Amino acid sequence: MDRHHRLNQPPRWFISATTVPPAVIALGFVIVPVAMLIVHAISIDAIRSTFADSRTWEVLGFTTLQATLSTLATVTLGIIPGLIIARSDFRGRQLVLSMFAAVFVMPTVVMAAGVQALLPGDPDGLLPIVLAHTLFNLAVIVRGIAAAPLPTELERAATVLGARPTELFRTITLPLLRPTLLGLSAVVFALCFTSFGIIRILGSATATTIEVEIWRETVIVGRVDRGVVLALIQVVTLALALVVWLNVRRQQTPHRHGHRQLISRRSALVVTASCALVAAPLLALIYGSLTVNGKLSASGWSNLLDTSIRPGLRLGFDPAQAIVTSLTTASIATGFAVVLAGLVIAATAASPQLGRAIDLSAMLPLGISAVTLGLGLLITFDVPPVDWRASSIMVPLGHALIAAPFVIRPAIGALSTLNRQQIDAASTLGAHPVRALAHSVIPIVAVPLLSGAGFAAAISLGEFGATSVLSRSGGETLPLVIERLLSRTGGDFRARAYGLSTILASVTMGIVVALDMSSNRRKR
Amino acid sequence: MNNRFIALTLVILLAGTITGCSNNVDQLTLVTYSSFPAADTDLNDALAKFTEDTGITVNILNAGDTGTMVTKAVLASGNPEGDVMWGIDNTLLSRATTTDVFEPYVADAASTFDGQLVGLGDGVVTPVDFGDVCVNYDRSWFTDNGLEPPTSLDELANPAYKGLLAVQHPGTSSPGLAFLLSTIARLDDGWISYWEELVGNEVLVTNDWEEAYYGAFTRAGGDRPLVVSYGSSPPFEVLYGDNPNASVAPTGVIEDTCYRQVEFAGVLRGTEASDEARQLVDFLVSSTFQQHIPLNLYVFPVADVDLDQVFVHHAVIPETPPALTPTEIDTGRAEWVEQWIDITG
Repeated sequence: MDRHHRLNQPPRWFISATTVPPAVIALGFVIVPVAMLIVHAISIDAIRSTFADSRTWEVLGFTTLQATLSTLATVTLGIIPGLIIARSDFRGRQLVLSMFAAVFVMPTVVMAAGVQALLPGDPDGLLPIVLAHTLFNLAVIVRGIAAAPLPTELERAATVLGARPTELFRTITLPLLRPTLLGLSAVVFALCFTSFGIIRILGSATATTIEVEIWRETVIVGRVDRGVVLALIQVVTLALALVVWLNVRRQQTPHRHGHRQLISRRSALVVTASCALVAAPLLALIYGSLTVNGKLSASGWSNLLDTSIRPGLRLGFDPAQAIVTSLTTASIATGFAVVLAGLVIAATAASPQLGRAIDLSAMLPLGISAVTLGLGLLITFDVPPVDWRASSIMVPLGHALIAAPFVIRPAIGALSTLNRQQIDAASTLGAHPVRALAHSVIPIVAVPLLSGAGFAAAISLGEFGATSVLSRSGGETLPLVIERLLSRTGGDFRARAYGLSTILASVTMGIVVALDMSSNRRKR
Repeated sequence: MNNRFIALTLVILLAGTITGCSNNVDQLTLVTYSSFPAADTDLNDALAKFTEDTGITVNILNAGDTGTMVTKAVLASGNPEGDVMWGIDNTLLSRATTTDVFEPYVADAASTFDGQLVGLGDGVVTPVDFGDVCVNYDRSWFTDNGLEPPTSLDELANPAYKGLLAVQHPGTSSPGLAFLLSTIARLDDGWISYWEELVGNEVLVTNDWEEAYYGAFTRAGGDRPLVVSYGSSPPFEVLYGDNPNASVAPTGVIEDTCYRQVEFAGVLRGTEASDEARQLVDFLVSSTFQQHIPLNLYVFPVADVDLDQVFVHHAVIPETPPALTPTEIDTGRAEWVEQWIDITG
C-alpha cells in the first residue's frame, strides 16, 4: 500500500472509537460469560463421554442434514418471489414484504401446529421440520433479495439478443445474485442449524438439533458439563461451515440500483402464490383465535385483555401490560442493535482489512447456544457491583445480541459497493478522511440499516428461547404470556393466546412497514 | 485518547444505566418458576399481608420453568439469586440437595401435614403443595362411541382402547416423566413390557403437554380421547367452561394412573437474611397463603384448608399413590428415559 493511501485513511482514534465498544460488548456479554460457564462446568469425563456417545454424532448429522435441506428449500422457494418483488412496483408491495416478517415472529407453537395440520399422519421428523423452517425463513431470503436490487440492463440486452428465460436466469441473473444469495443463505443455515422451538415440538429423540440437545442435557437431565461440550461442538461446527461458505463469495459483484417495472401477470401470480404460502399460517392463527373447543366463538377476542378469568379469579399476568413490555423491550433492543451495527459498519468502512474478520465474528453469536449464554451471564454477573442477574436490562440486551447479526450483515454487504477511489479523491482534495468516509458510507448503508432495524424489532418481539432462560422480575413479554396462556387447561385461553399472537404478528407488520417506507423515502 | 479510556467510559456508562438489586433485611426475594403469578392475584395479596405483619417486602423473581430454575440454582449454589425458592419438585429435588442449594429448614407446621409429603423433603425443604398427573378421558367421546372408559393402568394396554391414548415424551415433558414414573412405581421391572404393550396399542407420543391436550385430545379436535394431564384438569374444565355450575365435568380422571408431584419451598444457602427467609417459609405454609393455592397454581395445599366446591365435586385426589424417592428418581431417570426411548423409538 502506498504512502499516499495511508495518509487518507481515517485517524487511529476513529478506528478505536468504532471497534472498541462492539468488541467490549461482545467480549463482556458473550465471550466471557460463555467461557466462564465452560471453565466452571467442563470436565475430562464429560468431553470423553460426549465424544464417545454415538448419539452426539447422530444428532450432529441430523442437525447438519436438516439445516442444509431447509436452506436449499428456503432459497429455492424464495429466490423468484424475491427477484420479482425487487424489480416490480405494485400496490401492496410493502404489505407483502412485511407479511414475510410477520411470519418470522409467529410463536413456534403456533407455526408447528399449522405445519402439523398441513401434514397429517407425519407429525414428527425431517419433512415437517424442513417445511416449518422454510416458512419461517423465507422472510430472510425474500426481504434480503428485495432490499438489494440488481441491475437490469444486462438482462434486457440479453433478452433483445434472444436469450430464453431459463438461460437468462442461469447465465446472467444468478451470477449477479450470487454474493447476496450466499450471504443470505449463510444466515438461514445458521438459524436452522441452531433451531430450538420448532425442534422441541416437531422433533423427536433422533430428529433433533445440537441446540435442543444442549437444553435437554443442561436443564432436563442436569448434566451441565455435557451441555457445554455440546455447545462447543455446535459453535465450532457452525464456524467451520460459515468459513467455508463465506469463502465461496470472494468475488463480490458491485450492485447498482435497478429500476422497478410494473409487474407482469405471470410475476403477479408467483408473488400471489408465495404470499398464500406465508399467509396460510397467519390465517390459521386468526382462525384459531376464533375457535373455542372446536366451535366458532368470539370470546377469545372479547376477553383478550382481561386480567381476570371471572369475578374473583385472576389470571396472574396482564396481556395489555405484556404488549407494552414487548414494545419497550423491542425499542431498546433495536436501538442497541442498530448502534452496535453502526459502529461495526463504520469500522469495516474505515478499515477494509478488518472487514472479513468482522464479517465472520458478527455471525458467531448465532452459533452460541441461548441456554449456554443465559447460564454464562448468570454466573458472570453475580457479584456486586455487577450483580445484574435479574436486572431489567438483561432481556433487551440479550435480544440486541441476537438481532445484531441481522442488522450488520446486509449493511456490510452493501458496503461492497463503496467506491474507495472516490473517498481517496475527496480526502486528497482536502476533506477530512472521516467526513469523506461518512459522506460516501451513510447513503449506502442507510437503507439496509433501516430495513435491518425492522428485522431486529421483529426478532425481539418474537424472541422466546433466550428470554425464557434469563431471570426476570416484573414485566413478561408477549411470547411468554402467549406460552403461559397455552399451558392452561380449559376455557378460551387457547383462543386468547392465538388472538395475542395475531396482535403480535400485526404489530410486527406495522413496524416493518413503517421502517421499510421510511427507508424507501431515503432511497428516492 | 486510548482504547482503555473508551472501554472504561463504556463500562461506567453501562453500570450507570443498570441498577443491581441489593438485599436489605426489609426485603426478601422469592425465586419461583414462571407460572407463579407476579402480581394481581389472591396469592400476591396474601404476600402483602406478610409485609404488613413483618415489614418485609417480598420481591418475586421469575427464574424460568422449574427445570431452568433448578439448573440455575445449582450453578449459583452458595451465591443465590434470592432468599427463598418456591416450587422445586420431587423429580428435581435431589439434584439441588446433593449440591447444597438449600440451607436445611423445615417449617414447624409441617408436623401436621401428610407424612409422606414431608418425608420426601428429607429434612432440607418443606412441602408446600402437591398435584397428580393422571390419564384424563373425554366423557362425551366415550358416550358417543358406546365404550366404557378404562379404569386402570393395565386396561390402557387393552386392544379395546387401541389408538386412543396420547402421552408426552418423558425426556422433554414434566407430566410425561411423571407418567413414566407412575408405571415404574406401580409395575417395578414390569414397566418395560407394559410400555411394549402400549406401543403395540398405538400410543401417541407428543413432545409436550400443550401438543397432547390442545392438539391430540378429542376435546381439542384431535383423535385421542385419552390423554396424560393433571388430576385437577376436570375442575378447571368446569371452572373455565361455559357452565361453572355443571354437575359433571366434561373430562374424567383414571385414578389408578396417577402419579403425585410434590412441590417444596426452601431457604437458599448463602442468603444474608436467613431468619427472615425462614419466617417467609413459615408463612408460605400458613393457611393465610395456602388457601389461595388451588385456584391460582392448579395444585392442592399441604395445609388443612377448605377446598373450593368445584374441587370437592370434580377433582380426583388419590389417597396415597405409590411414590419413588427423589434420590431414586435422580439416579434412575436418565437410564429409564433412554430405555423408554428404545422401546417407543
